[in-house]
Amino acid sequence: MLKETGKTACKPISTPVDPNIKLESAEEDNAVNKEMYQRLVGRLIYLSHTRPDIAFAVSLVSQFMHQPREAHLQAALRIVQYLKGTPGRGILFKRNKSVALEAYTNVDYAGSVVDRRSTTGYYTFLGGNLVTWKSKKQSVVARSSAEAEFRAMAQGICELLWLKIILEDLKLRWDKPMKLYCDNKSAISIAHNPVQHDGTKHIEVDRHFIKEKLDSGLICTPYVSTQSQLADILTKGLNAINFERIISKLGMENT
Amino acid sequence: MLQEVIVSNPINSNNSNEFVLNNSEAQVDQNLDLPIALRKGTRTCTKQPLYPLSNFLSFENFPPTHKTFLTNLNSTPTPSTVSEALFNRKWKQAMDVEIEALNKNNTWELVTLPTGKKPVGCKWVYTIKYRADGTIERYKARLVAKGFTQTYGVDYLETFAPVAKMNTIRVILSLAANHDWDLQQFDVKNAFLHGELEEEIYMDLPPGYDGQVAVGTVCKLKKALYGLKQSPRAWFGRFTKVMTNLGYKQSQGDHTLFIKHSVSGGVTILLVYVDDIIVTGDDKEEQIILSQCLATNFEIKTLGRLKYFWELKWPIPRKEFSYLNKNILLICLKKQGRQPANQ
Repeated sequence: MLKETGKTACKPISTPVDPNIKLESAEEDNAVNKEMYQRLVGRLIYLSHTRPDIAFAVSLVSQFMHQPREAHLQAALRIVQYLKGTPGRGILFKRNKSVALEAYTNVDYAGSVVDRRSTTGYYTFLGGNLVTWKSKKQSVVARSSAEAEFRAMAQGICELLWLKIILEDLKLRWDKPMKLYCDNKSAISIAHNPVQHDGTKHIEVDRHFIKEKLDSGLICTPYVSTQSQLADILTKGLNAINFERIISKLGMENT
Repeated sequence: MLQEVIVSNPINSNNSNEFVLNNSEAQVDQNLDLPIALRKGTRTCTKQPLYPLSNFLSFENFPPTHKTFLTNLNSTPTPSTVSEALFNRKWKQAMDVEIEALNKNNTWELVTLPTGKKPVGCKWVYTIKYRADGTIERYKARLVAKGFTQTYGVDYLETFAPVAKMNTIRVILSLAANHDWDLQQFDVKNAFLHGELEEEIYMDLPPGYDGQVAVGTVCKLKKALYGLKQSPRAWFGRFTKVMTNLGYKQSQGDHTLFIKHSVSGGVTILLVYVDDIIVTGDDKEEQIILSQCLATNFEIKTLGRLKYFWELKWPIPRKEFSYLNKNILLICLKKQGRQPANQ
């Protein structure tokens, strides 16, 4: 991949996304070779099966597959440059002797400059090991950050429920509520509050879904500060220090 | 030559210039048809790259046998047509083996083509199988059907076959790490050939073996072949049937996950990704029974403890095992015929 992009001798970079750059459709920019771009991004997508650290970066560049411009190619090449520095990074499955289910959800409110949709990001941990993750632009525009957070929480819960189904098939019991970490206090309080808010009419389905799961004791939603929010990495470009901090917490190691 | 002259005739040393001149003239005479500007030599990069790839990616962690394997790939050419292959005895032999295996498997019967039916084409695909140390293990010829000539509703209907989700694989690995379960890996040989076909499919005779029978004879397929659109589905259907007969329950969370709880309270988990199978759990006896049952139903290659699954894993002989993608990078590079530079 490095050779194909002519980047064998490039300088490695510590993060896959430039935190200061927002990708837009960039109509006036020079068009680049579409086929080459798509092939490169396709490879990155394949690679992101084992690398949650590039998941967000890949989801960003793959939004422009239909009409790649110079700026998008530069972003894709930056991922390649990042990969060069860390070719052996992978998830380490440790022995923690537990089957605890946890999830971290986060959103980047109105993060996309193109259509102002928000980006969902979640991680799920099984027994302290990272098992699933997702970084995806939401399909509808959210009117508030709490609303966007809501959608992310609902998706995170779905993932947790799926994991629970698998574990129940294996007859592994986990009776305590599954933890869903979220860094938006208003979203948490809306989820707990049974009173119908006028402002949340339009997200009723998600709200009732989360409420139902909370009431049945299936999940609980502790608050985490933005500092210890691991899912940050799935919704925005971070600087090198924060990036490294989160990566090490995810249990990713170099070999 | 020049030196010799000088040494033998030290007195004529001032003539040496003349000698050189004559010599070069002779050379020019010989190469009159060369263009005027002679090539000065190929250009090379004088400066070493600042960040050579070898600083970041190294083969050091691979065992020496794997290193030679990587360097030996793609060194022998494979034929692209039947006529080419028939010239070589090794390839001819490989084709004979494949035809014999197909006949033994009862894959088809020879019939005359009924009117109104269209046969599917087929072709040979040649590959070389390598041992782990890079030497050639065997030459392999595989007969594949040209599935792209099939029409929906005529000779195929449903084609979907599930494969294990990456998420499920990670869940199982995480559980195995937490419970210290043993991970066993199996590989089904010629997996697709085990699938049973429900549709009525006619196929042309395999190229190179169409001489002995009357014109208009075709193969009526009973078992699936590689290349047919419904092959993966037929194989997965067959596998599911076998597993349910063995008393395994198909998980609803992921249909490629099969689970059995034995009376003793142990659990055996099986995950299938097309023809790759992972078995884990805390019931050693059941695992042995399972591997025997699989071996009687299909042809199974036991690969021992998990090393790779889906070309992904790189085990470390510890209680914890990491799940890396260095191999993906290497395989990506290999597939493009590009090895990492400076290696």
